[in-house]
Amino acid sequence: MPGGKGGGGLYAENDYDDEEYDDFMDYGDQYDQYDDPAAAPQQTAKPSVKSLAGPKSKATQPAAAAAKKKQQVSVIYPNAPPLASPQADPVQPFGFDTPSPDDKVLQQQQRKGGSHQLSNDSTAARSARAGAGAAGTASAASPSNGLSTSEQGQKAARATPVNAAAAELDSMRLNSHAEATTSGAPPAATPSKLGRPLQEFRLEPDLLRMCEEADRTGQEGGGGSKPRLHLVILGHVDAGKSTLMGRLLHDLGLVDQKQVHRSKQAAAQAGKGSFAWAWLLDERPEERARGVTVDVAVSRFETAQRAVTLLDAPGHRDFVPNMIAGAAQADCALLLVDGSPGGFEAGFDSSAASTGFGMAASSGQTREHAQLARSLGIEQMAVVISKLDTCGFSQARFEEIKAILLPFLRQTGFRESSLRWLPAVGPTGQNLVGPPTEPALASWFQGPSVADAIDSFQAADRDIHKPLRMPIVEVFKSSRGALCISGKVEAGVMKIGSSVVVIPGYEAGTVKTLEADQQVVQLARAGDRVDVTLADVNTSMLTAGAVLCHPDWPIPLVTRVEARVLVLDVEVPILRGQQVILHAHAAREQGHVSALISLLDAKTGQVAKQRPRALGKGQTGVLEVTAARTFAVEQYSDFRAQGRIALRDGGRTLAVGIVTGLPCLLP
Amino acid sequence: MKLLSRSYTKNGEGSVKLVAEEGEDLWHAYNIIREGDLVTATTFRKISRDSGAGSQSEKVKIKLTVRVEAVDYDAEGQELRLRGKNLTESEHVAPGAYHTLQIETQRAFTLEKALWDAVDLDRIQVACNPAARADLAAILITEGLANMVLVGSAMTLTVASIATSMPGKRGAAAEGYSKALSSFFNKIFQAVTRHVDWGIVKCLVIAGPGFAKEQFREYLLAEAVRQELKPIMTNKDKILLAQASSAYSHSLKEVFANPGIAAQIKDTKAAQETKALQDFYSRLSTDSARAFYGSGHVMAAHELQAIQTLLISDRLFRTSDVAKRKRYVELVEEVGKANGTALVFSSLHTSGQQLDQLSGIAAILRFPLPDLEDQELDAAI
Repeated sequence: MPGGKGGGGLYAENDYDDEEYDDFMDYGDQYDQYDDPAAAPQQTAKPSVKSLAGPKSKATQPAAAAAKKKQQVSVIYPNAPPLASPQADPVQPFGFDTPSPDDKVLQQQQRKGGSHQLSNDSTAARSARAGAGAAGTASAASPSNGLSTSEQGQKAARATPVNAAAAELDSMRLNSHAEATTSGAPPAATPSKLGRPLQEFRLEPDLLRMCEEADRTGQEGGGGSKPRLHLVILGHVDAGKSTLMGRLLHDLGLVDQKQVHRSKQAAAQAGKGSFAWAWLLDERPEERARGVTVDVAVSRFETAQRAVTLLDAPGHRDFVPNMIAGAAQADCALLLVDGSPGGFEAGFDSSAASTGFGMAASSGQTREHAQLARSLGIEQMAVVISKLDTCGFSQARFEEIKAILLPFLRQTGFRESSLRWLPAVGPTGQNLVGPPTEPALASWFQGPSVADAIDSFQAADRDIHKPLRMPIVEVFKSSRGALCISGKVEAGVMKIGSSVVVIPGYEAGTVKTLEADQQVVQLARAGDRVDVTLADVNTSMLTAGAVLCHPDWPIPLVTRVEARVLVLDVEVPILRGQQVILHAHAAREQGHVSALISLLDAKTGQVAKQRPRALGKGQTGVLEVTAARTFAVEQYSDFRAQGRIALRDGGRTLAVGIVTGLPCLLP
Repeated sequence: MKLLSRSYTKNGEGSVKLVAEEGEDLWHAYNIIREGDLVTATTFRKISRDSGAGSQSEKVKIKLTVRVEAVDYDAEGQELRLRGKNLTESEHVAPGAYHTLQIETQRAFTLEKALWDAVDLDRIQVACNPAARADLAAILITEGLANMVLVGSAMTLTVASIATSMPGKRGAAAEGYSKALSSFFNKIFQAVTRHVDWGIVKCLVIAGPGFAKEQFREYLLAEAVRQELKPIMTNKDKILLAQASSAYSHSLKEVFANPGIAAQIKDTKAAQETKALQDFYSRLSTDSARAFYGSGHVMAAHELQAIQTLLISDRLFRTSDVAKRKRYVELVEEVGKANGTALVFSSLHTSGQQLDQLSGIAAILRFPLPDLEDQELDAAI
């Protein structure tokens, strides 16, 4: 299968770790480039910002600004010598027959034009300081120290007349300094919204203390001391995901008999008795009426070893966007495969009859779900082959499916050691919590059960030493009427009272309440799924897909994204102009492929061709996507969870990949 | 568009007198009027008079001819403004003074050109043909996001975009969901009553993934009965459902590809363009030596008389570079003469926007040109 080759490019089994490491090395440097110059002017510019009309307005009208400068200088000029003359006697009156030092500097400035404006305020501040420094040795009466465009500069000039020659030298030096800073600075960027360099981040001491405390007691964030897992259930529509999960929740004692009874009765009344277990999770009327999960259902349970947040994803292809939002939060997955005769094949076949524009008519979701899950960062997966009761618990069927799936999953990038294979039957509860009771199954299968498989998953590390990131998955009214947002904290820590910012919108607020598992908590760390209410925030900015961030290190907001992608089984190769829906964390936005940057060699990852005409099935390449509206996304090397993207169109996933660059950081 | 009089020869000079009847006609006018043309129209100008005791200003209605220097079009606001120097002797405006004419619907204007080329003449013919109207309203809907678009013969206009946050599934709070859903539906319902003119629209398509489209149709009809909205009740049969993979406006191409909808709008430009672009893409994937894009490759293919179908965006004709436009016009004419098909895409349709992303020009060839595929050709025009 051609898809396999490309799989090697992005997530090959062997070079997988190295490759991610390489990414980090490569793009770390790039990050510096974006960030340093942005931060520099922010720090130095502060003292003089007030005295200027505003650096932004100046930058937009370089010509006007230059004219203004000239005017200012000419006003100061006649005044300056008399001001200075009483004290400084060995002054030679300036004849005005040669260009003055000011004129020279001015000429230089004008030559540089608009690009100079940005750094101007910082140099003005510096020149003011330089002037002050020279005050002690004041001996000459030349006006100003060259760059006296700000009031501060003027004051310095009047108060501390500097030797003309020295001033000229000084201003030249300053000027060259200005040049140096200008060349590196991004044009017209207001640094505040770009945030500070990631390297500067240190977790606040009080939060760190609280984290250590929480680690010791193991109580905060719910779930007791058991490691936390976020588990997503994937699989083709009607594989039995919701049914299996409903039954599992029951067997683990999370759903009481009364609820089960109610659900069974409702299902029987509607003539859909077989949906009884699924209806525990599918509670919306239209989900029940059609017997299809539409939105991700979230529930929690505990196994012997793990505290699990369960995300029951929809399998129907129309709802893959919802599945992506669910899988993006997960650390591990259960992939349900229909084991009934013909069931697996229906869910796995990729022989989609195209009705044009790559519209998927009948392709199975098993393939797409697995590829998406891997690209969204899920490394551990249990493959659960369900409905084996329909073929007498045949071991041959089990092995047959495994033999077909395993090579595909390996090509997709899963390690064989991270995969578990097990049979289970939802409605009768076979092999869910305990070992199978059905003799036909128990005769050849010794374990693990679903619960055992979940116990064997490794919990993800809590990424607390990074700025806060919480993509908003859901916005709802809490029982108390407050607008509440919900999501998984992907990085960092927040507590009640933390100040946060919501992006897009740059809406600042403070955390008012935190809830995990319907219990009030004081602290939410990376890896916790929490409900948050915010104080002092414009609620219209709270939408699914926005990100709650640390105010000093906000997530970048961009319209263009450069990404390294693996093209999946597309019928039509990806060309420039391909319309796509861009998915990243919980956000989605319409956009198009605005450039194909390079085609990469699937084996080595080296550039095989610059600016290719098209990226075909199974190829790996770098492309640029332009979104219709601004979009919060991050480089993969900085934050993995927010740096993964999927491109979809016409109901199928075209490509998956990671963000390697943000070409136009918006101010 | 109504043609009141004409006096021109092909590839010669002359003038036409036109009346724009609806918003879309302004788009056609925008595509015909270029820099250097003379336009005569009735216009208003603010004249200030100094009467000694302060100045008074007054709006006067005058007829002016200007030599166009800039053409400015706003699709959302349905405005076309022509800026240029006045050529008319008038007591209010000196010859040579700048004036901006605003072309309005139902007000005649005369357009004089030094050169009428084939594309211009085609455009006038198309604009004046009332049968070529598509006029389709579509609602693209999924839970929490809806876009309502009006599709005319030459433009697709997004008239409403509704996005709300829907609460997720959380136990007993399912009620909050149905409440949010009906308030979401109500907003779309408002948009339907405001924007759909059942006298013009051939059909209203509700499309999207999942079940929201069906739920919304039920809501729409129930609500129409409840509020006794006759127009919706009597046009019930014009409301169709279609599958689309998302609620974003570019999923409209899937709606056009739907056989049921395609039958309704089969002769319209939007449907033809979508079909042609779809053919181009499928040809590109199956037989890439017979599908090319970019002016370099397309011109090279044309020299070999290889073009079967030419896809070209009207954006390319709006250039002020006369020589460039001439070459494109020749291309269109020659392809037509050689029994090929030349389709001028409207850049206000989603298909045209997609073509614009592919440099605005593409071609499906009669025979494969594998050599051309490997050549790096820069834009020849």
